Amino acid sequence: MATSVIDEQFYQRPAPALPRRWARGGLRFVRRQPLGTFGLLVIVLFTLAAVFADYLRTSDPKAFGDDILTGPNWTHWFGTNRDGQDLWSRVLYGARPSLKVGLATVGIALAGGTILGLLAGYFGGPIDMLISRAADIMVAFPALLFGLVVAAWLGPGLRSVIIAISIVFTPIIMRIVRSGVLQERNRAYVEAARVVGASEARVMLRHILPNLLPLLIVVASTTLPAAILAESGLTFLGAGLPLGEPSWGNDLGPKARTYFDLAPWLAIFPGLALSLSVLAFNLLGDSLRDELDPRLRGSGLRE
Amino acid sequence: MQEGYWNRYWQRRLSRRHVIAGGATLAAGSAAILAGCGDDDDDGGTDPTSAPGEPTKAGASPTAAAGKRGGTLRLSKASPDTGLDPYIVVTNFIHPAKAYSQMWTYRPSTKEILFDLATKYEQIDPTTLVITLREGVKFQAEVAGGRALTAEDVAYSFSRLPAMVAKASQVNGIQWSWMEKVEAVDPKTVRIKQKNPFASNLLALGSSALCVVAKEVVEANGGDLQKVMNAGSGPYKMTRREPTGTRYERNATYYAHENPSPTYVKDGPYIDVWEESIIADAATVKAKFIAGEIDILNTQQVTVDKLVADELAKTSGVKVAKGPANAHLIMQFDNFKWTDKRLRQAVWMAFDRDQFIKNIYLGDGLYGGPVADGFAKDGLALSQDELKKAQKFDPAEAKKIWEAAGGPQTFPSIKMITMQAIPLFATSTQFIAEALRKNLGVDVKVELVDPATYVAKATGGYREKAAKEWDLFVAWETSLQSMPDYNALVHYIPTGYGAIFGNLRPDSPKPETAAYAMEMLQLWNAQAQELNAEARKPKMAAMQKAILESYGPAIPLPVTATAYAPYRDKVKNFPVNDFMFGNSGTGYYRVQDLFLDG
Repeated sequence: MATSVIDEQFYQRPAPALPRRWARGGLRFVRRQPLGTFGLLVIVLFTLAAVFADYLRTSDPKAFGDDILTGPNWTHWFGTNRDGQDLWSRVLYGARPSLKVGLATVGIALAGGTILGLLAGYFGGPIDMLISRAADIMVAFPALLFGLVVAAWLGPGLRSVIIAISIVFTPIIMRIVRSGVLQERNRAYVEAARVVGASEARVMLRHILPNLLPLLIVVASTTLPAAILAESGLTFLGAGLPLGEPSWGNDLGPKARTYFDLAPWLAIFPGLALSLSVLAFNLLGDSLRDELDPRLRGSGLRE
Repeated sequence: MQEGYWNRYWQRRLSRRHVIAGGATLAAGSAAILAGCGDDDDDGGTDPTSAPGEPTKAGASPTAAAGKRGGTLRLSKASPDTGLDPYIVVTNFIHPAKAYSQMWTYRPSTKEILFDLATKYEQIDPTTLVITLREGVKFQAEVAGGRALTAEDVAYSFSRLPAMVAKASQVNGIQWSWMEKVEAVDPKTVRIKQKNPFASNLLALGSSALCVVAKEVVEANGGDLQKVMNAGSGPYKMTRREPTGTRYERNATYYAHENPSPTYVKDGPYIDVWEESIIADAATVKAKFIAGEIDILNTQQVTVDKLVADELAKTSGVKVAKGPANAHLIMQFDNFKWTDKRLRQAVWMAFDRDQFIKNIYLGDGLYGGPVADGFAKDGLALSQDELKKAQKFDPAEAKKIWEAAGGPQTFPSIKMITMQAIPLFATSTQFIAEALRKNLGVDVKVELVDPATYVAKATGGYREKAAKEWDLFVAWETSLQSMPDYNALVHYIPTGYGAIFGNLRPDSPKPETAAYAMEMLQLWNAQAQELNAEARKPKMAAMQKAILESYGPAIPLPVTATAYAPYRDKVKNFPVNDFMFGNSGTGYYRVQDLFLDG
């Protein structure tokens, strides 16, 4: 069989080195997804702020201070709250629980949702029925109420918040993954794997799962901001992080709200941090979806 | 002497009628002036025979007068009432003041007894008190068929008090344990035989908790009134109790009577309806108050410091009453666990009270003591200098003592419980927790709970004589702040919250705790039974010093120096000089005296 010159040249050309490919991919992402790039930059900044909060802070974020409700100035860049705590330092430290909760929740919910979605979608029948109906029941509860009940049951704290939000998001992710598996399991490559004698587990994990990766990346990036908001919501309602712990939800909570009209910076800075981080993850998520979702390939929607 | 209330009232009516009624002004104004020139409120309220510093009896009934009637007073509260039995109720002490009647209330600013069910009292001897009841008092129409309220009802009601302790009553022994026997001499005469002389007996009877209930209603409801909306003869009857709030409507029968109180007259102005909305969020309460949707700001829900008071005072239609606070705030130890004095001492020394005052009260605060500062001028509370000397902040020494006493082993972590419904509790707990973490190096876990859980956890373990779920607990007591030996002391005394909250009980399985409880009881009894005002002072001082020197069962935390009470200016007869004495029989205000204008 004759092979075209072009194909020969193509196959003879050495593949570029991995870092170079990444760099090219990155540049392409920057060129094609400016909003996603902005989101990524903001996320990187928040991550750096969280990691290096000990060095960037101007005072102990939990210590009661002498300057009470002072507006933004050279000493307190974001002003202080009613307890005399420096808001700049609290906003920096507040990024920690938000990112921790976001990443941990997405990790747990993604793992749980993927496993359950794979099982339900691949095997179908009674397994699908059991998992899907359980998910339906859980999704039927208002998410915040469900989170409140779980957080109240486990007691306040980061661990409780992560567990509560993970439980809320797992069935949602399961449904998305299940629908992906239902599409993939009838494809030719799955049939081919079965024909050569691959086990069910191998088919699921080695063949279907890699094809779901773009979908999972998109799901993760859109779940993360929702998890951050849920954490802030639970903390705002008193069922999240312990009292006084630096957190954007705590800093927007009932105590601060009593003074919002006297000291608007109490609402502005933690609110901005929260909004900006959620926006950044959403923008990044949208861009990743545009780049990675196979359903958008060739649809003209990627550009 | 206060400015005459009716004088002010009639002058205001005159002005308005002048504008509205034009030619009718002359006639109306003349009538008003005549009425206004009548008896001044306070003339009848002072008993010239009373010794200074002792309660005086209210005397002549003021002139009956027509006035503005009706309207709805709108209030807020953070959560539904945990119960409605006036002898058990713990989260809404205005309920008994509205739905029930008591012997009298007490007005601290003028040291007057304001009669309600009673028309006079007589201390026959140091242990016999005879009270004469008002003629014609009836239970509310829906209660016990609206029958007459008699001395038998008083005797029955007071006989319930000891039994309520088993139900975690907040009406603790200080209020009633001095009564040996309450008997009906005749339908209108009650005789209280006291176990011992009690200097504060008249003030104790002024509590709205010591109100009169109908026996048949209690019995028909299995022995308590926790779910019963009405079982008394009070000025208002509860007509609605829902998760969104409660509603009270005027009991017309109550308002028909002649009352010898100087602040209440037959046919005077009144409020038709009290609407109490449950609003959990303090910021919403504040916003609604500013918007004119709430008439009196619940200062337990919304912390009103100087900043907030100044802001509210600038709001149109709002008045902010201001006066010296008579508050206390304590941090209770669970005495079941804190038997080693050195561990308590380390905690006493581990936080900076000056910083506490600066942060939490914006610098307008005082050192707290076992007796509130308001009584210092009467020689019944220790001075600020004495308190400062006894409450030094020394973190280095505190840590040394903590470690020497085995603190890290006994308390690998300290558990505190608090709630956000009263923001001061939450902030104080947070402040102390931070100080203990920093200065003692101990892990402090703070659990945030709802008000009902807070109360349950405070009193839990009392019946079982078991350790509490918590180690330290910040609280206050707002009832009977007018009683020097109740006020903050209630948390140190086994017949008070010392036992209920703090496990400080003579029958404690812990010998150290039992011994300490006995010591406290003896010291308290010594002053309480001393009827000579001068002789009582050193006994009060001795008790307070003993508490401070032994790093006692509860730490007095700093208190605000100034109290603020924001209310809409349409609320008339607001007790601007007495609002800071929470529930001196009335739940901040004598409900039957308030009215609305505008």
